[in-house]
Amino acid sequence: MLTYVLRRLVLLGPVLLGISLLTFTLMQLIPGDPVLIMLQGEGRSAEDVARIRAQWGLDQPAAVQYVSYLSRLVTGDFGRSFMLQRPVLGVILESLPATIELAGVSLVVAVGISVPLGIVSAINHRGAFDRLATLVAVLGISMPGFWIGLLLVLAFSVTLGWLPASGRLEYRVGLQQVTGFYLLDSVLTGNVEALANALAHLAIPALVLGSAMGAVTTRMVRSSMLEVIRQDYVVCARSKGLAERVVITSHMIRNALPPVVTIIGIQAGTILGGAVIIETIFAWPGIGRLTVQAISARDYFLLQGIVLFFALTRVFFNVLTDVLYGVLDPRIRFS
Amino acid sequence: MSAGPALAAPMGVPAVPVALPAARRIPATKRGLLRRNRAMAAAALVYLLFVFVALAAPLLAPSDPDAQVLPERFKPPGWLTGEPDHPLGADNLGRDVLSRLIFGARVSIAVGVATVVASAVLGSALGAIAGYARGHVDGALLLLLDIWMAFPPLVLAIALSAALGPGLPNLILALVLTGWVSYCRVIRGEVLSLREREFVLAARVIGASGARIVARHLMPNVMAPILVLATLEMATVIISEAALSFLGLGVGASQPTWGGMLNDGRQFLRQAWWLATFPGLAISVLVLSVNLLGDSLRDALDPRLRSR
Repeated sequence: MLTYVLRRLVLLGPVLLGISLLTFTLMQLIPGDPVLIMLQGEGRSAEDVARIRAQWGLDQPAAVQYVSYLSRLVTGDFGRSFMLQRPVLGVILESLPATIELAGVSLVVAVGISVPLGIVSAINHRGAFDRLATLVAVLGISMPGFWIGLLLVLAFSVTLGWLPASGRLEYRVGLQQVTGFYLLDSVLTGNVEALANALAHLAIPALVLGSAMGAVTTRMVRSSMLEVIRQDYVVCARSKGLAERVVITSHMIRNALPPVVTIIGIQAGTILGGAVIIETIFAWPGIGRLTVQAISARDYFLLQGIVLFFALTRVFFNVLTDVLYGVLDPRIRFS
Repeated sequence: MSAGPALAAPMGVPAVPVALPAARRIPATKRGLLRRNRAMAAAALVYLLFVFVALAAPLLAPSDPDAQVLPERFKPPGWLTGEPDHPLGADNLGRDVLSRLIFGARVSIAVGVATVVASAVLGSALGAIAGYARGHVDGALLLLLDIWMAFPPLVLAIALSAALGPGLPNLILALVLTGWVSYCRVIRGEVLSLREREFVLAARVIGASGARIVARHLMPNVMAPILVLATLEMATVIISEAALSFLGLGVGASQPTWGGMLNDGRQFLRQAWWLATFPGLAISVLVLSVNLLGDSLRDALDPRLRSR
């Protein structure tokens, strides 16, 4: 098991190298001079531009730039943000808790919706509930999350005034920062008001992000259950007189689970992508909103760092998923 | 198909009227097929309607989508005011929402079709070559796939779109560079299993070249999964385009897009609910029709893709 994990990590080498090359290439794709674009016509002299270009190493050939980019990456130097005049990694890490909190709660929402829905759907295969759940899932996949988000804001914030439309926490609610995760911090400091306020802010974005993911996962859970439902061992379990509840929980669900975990793992890496838009709508101060800010400020070094960070996260989740799959399904041999 | 169910009572059983449904009984699987075909036809019809609207936009739109009539700013939809000049209302610059929606269909439909065709061609060609050649070629492609799939698709599309700049060709390029992977994976797998089949061996025995075998013998056999995948991917592409336009990337502000309209409407959610509501509805209905079409195509053509 440990050797498998180590092997996976070693095999990641070429992939990581490729990821760095691709993110580096992104910068080269920009037509024109990135320095001029980033300065956006600020009245700088030609010498200033040349100085900045030399300072950032942009006057070197692309191959040299890549090697120095790579050597800086190895030491954890993701470059400097043009917009904020600070190291990119620091900026990313600072906005990370907000995104993890949102993604984590969304994941709980998604699993909470999709697993029961998919299981009940498969058990009532072609029944009324199954049809309804399938329809809801297709609708959920087809409606863009950013639209559902706006409709929910329209209903619950603008019209009813029940939930806040943006942000993480109201200004007037003080919260002592411990970890940067507001839910955790408010529990740690025993601040009930902050907890309620943070949850209210989370409600719509997490529901939108979670239901989009839940719609995909529901279909997966359902088809994974349908595959095991007609297996011989299920028939056998029934014919030896086991209670239906036992058949469902320890024969069907137990075997349908591993593929579902894979999907959820992949989705967990993808949910960050969805967060880009949802965070923008709800002014959620996480990585997603940072991405859009980097784009509109044309801070390409920050964008490059964020994209690299997203890719590394997803690779990490993929390895984690593989390992988890093996734990859940002992038939998988780690070799 | 037989003339009808035989209702003759078996010997010894009293011939009581049997409560059969009024319609001729069709076996359950066929009934399912029929229903699926009906769903497929309905979905295809809705999609074609959108294509028609996109093509005939200048004829259908009640007014110029870019005409700004400032006194008409934020005018509610026609059925609320009783005045028919703006059936779906007017936006913050007094532009007609319905006309902008109709012209916005052009971008969604064009980007959807162009991206899907280009990425299907690119992805399946690479996948077929790798699957047929195996060895180092396949190894290199698998590495490339691993690298590509490390990036969340939307993030990659956003980054590419930001780097390439605005405009329709750049937008399509960004989406093709994001979308080719799914075709590549599926077709590589299909070709890997097909290449050992007798008809491929036979072609090789009579001296057909590798290129000929891929083009004439393998590709026709993977058309079904490509078609299914392309339809389902079109849904993803349309949503991605809307998302990019929503973020101010994509084709740029020069022409109306549903995503762009949604973003404009977001700022005026309090004053004018119709600005954000209708573009989102248009995206949803179009994507729903494409998804339903893809689902029924998959069920009909390629049950193995069911788990996707």
